[in-house]
Amino acid sequence: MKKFLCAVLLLFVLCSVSFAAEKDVADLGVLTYLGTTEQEFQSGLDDLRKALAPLVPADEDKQEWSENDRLEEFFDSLVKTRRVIHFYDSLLSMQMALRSRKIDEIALPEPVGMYLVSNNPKYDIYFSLNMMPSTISFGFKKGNTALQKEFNTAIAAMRKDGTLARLQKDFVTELPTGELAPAKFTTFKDAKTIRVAVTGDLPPIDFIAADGTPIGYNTAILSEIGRRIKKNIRLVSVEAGARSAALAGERVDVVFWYRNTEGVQAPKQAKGKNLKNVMKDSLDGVILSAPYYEWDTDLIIGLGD
Amino acid sequence: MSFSDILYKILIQGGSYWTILKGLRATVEISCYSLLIGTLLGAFVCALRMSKIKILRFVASIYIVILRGSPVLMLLMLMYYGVFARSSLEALTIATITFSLNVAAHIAELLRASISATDHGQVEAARTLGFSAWQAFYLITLPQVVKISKPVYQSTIVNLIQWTSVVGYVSITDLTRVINNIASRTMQPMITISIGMLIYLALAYIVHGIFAFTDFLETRKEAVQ
Repeated sequence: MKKFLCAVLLLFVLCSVSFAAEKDVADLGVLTYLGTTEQEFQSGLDDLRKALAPLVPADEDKQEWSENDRLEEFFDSLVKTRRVIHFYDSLLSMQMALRSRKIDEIALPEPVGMYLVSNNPKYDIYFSLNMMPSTISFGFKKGNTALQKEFNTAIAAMRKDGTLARLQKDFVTELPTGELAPAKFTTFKDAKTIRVAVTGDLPPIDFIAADGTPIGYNTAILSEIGRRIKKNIRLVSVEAGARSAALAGERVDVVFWYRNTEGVQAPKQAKGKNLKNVMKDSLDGVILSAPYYEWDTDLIIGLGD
Repeated sequence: MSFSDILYKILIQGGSYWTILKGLRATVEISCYSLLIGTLLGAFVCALRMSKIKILRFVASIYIVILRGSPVLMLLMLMYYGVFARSSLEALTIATITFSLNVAAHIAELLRASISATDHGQVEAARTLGFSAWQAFYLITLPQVVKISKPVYQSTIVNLIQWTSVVGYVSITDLTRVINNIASRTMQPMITISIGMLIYLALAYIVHGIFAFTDFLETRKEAVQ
């Protein structure tokens, strides 16, 4: 009996020690990157952290050491605390995990994070990672270059005449309050209908109104593209996790959003280690359009006090 | 924001309740059609499974093993994005076919177990008294099979309603999808999903109520007799 009690005590002490040793670990929820695995993402992040770790200064030296605020924040956030990555297929499941404290933080693109925080006072922005320039593009099935070209031409024209900037301002930057009216789609007689998959899971970029119709930036930009390429647009609502299956099975011609992280940077001290190698959202069978939305910062959000 | 404000935002604002009802309708439609087709198909598969012809028994066994052993979401994705990818069938029809196939496998096994639980001697006695094979089945075996299988059939229906919650993957806006959309829009997942759960729970209790009512009618009929 004594031996058993000693064994239990020893186990308890070991657990406490390991728990104490792991106190600088935080569980971070991330929206699933379709082109990579949780393990690959984790190992990429750990490699970056390892490369940067020797450069973290003692707190008292930080004032002189820090090149700029951006770098300091990047080091502070990613190097001092190890992040254990958890993928979630939807923003909803990620929020549930955060609320139940299965994870400590969630990482979101800035507009989505701002929408989350402004709609639910329980959330707080812990810090921002502003070396994460990313873009969102339409996805097409590999080989559908004709449609990709049409979309690219329309996006380029919208960028040039300021339509893209105006839509971003109206629907994303200045966060929509109250109910938005759904965009009007022009109907072209005898023209082909393009089926576009929307998920409703990336507000305010892609979300569904109370009456069940897709609304916001997604409908606004698609309505404009439809008008410019003179084709009818039909919106199809699918789960975020089924985006690529919908494209591969030719149930839809276009998927509204894939995140493109080609622009993601790391401090020069990272010696080539860069998260963009592991932050892959698109798959081999998918080709992307020119980006139609860009942002610089990812927000790390957690529960407030 | 007070709790009542949150509830208003989730349930009322912008006609949200109407969207929830439309989602509920999709869930009930898929469940009812699948149950009807699945029960008929299940009875047919059960007949094959209990056939005297070996090859038919084998085919039925393979069907049951595959359909009961595979996750319904995988089957649904395979049917929608694979088998029927180039067909013009509506997503709702494909989902109904998928759930019918799946539930048929469960019902076939349920019926086989119920038939096995009846006393075969009663059928033999009926045949000795001059009943035809069909009369013996219809008048002797079937009433007992219905009675034995009723509780498990009830839970199969409740399971079926719950399984339909994955149809959002094939572009159907059912109750779960509506609830998810509302949760994403309002950023209130806990409360919204709790409301969704209550609606599913209500559906389960309606099924329970229907079965309890039929039990009550049977008991009363027996008492009168």
